[in-house]
Amino acid sequence: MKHPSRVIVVAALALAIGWAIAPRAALPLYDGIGFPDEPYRFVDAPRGAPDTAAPTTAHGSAAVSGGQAQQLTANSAEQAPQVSVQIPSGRLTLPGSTTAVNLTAKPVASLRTAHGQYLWSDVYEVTVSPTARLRTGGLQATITLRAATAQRPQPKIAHYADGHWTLLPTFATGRDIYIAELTEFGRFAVIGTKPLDVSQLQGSAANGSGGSNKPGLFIGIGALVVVVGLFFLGRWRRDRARAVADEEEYEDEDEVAG
Amino acid sequence: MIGAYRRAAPLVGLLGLAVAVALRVQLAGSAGPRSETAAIWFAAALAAVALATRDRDVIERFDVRALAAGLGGAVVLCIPAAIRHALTGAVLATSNGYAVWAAFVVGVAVAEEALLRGSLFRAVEQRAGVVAAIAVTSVAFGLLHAPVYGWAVVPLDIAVGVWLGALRAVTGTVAAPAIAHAVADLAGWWLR
Repeated sequence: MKHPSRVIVVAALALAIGWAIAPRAALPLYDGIGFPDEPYRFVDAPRGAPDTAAPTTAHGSAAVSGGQAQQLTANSAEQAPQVSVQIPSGRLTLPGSTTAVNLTAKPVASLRTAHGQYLWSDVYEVTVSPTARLRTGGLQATITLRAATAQRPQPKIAHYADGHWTLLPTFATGRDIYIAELTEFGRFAVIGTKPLDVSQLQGSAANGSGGSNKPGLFIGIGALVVVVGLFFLGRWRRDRARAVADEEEYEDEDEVAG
Repeated sequence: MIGAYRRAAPLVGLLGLAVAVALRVQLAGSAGPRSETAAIWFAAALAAVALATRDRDVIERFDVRALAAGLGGAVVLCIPAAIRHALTGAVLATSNGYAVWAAFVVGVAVAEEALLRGSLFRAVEQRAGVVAAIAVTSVAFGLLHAPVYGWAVVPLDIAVGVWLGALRAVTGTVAAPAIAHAVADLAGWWLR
């Protein structure tokens, strides 16, 4: 091929642009099968949910200088994290003498929802210490919550204040992971418009493991083996035919020489 | 007859790819990309289409150069994910379930490459040149992920397709992009 280095440079540029415009939460996976999440850990598990360890608290801290905090990130320890908070540098304003700020996103007891609203995740209380103010403008601070299931219609992240839930503009960043802008601290959860479908929980008796259907899986493996076998059989027959042709050609040459 | 079949190979490859994606979506249901059953049928369908549309006169080369190009290509694909992982302080995944997951991931990645950068790339290249081959296979690669992973991943996956297509064009074999794709996916477990 002509100019291979140019091809590589152009492809690397395309890759850089792709990464630049990709959502921050895009999976570092170009295909295969999705990462197996552990079953959702509930504070108040619904009936039929698998037994799990308790949900974890996300902790994060950042240095503060001139009353502005550096970038702050907090992820809980589940696979995938059930809560994640990202606050870009300069978005958290604190008293001038402060040198560090700590953030926690802690799972707390469920809260009542209005008619037609259902909790699809634990309730997480996001707090900072010492008290700080979130400044608007520039890169957004975000909260990412994993829902217990990937059921539809798509739910929203909601903020709890004054006795009721306020639904926030929410984007899906995976089948069951949702992100919203964080404009204030307090309590957050994923809220759906239908009751949580326990049969869709990872690890529940009705769902099996990772949506696996054993007979279908084994037949599929068999089908793949057959296809790969046909490929190698075709290659072997072609090699053999070539070898026979070469041998015949050699014999013909021998006869001519004799 | 063989000439007509070769001329139809790009179209047959793309139609086969669409059928394989539809099959995966249908089998996966609410499990989406986590469905192992859907993933294995998807891989089998892709491999069958690749087998049916391959150029029977060509044997793909697998040598040290292809291996080195594939590993280098994988490193490039992993860099941004590694940076993001370090910056976000993400928790390092445990190795529980990695072996089984890895087997499925390699199967799907190699099957995708066998069709896209293997038979489809060669069929388009023979008709319209290497640039067209990279373009067609990259767009197909981006779009095939949309039904399972959502539209948000399409621009990045098209760009990744361009990178894998460039590896294929430069090395002249599907082995390099297959290795890059599979290794980058395998590393994804630790970089999520």
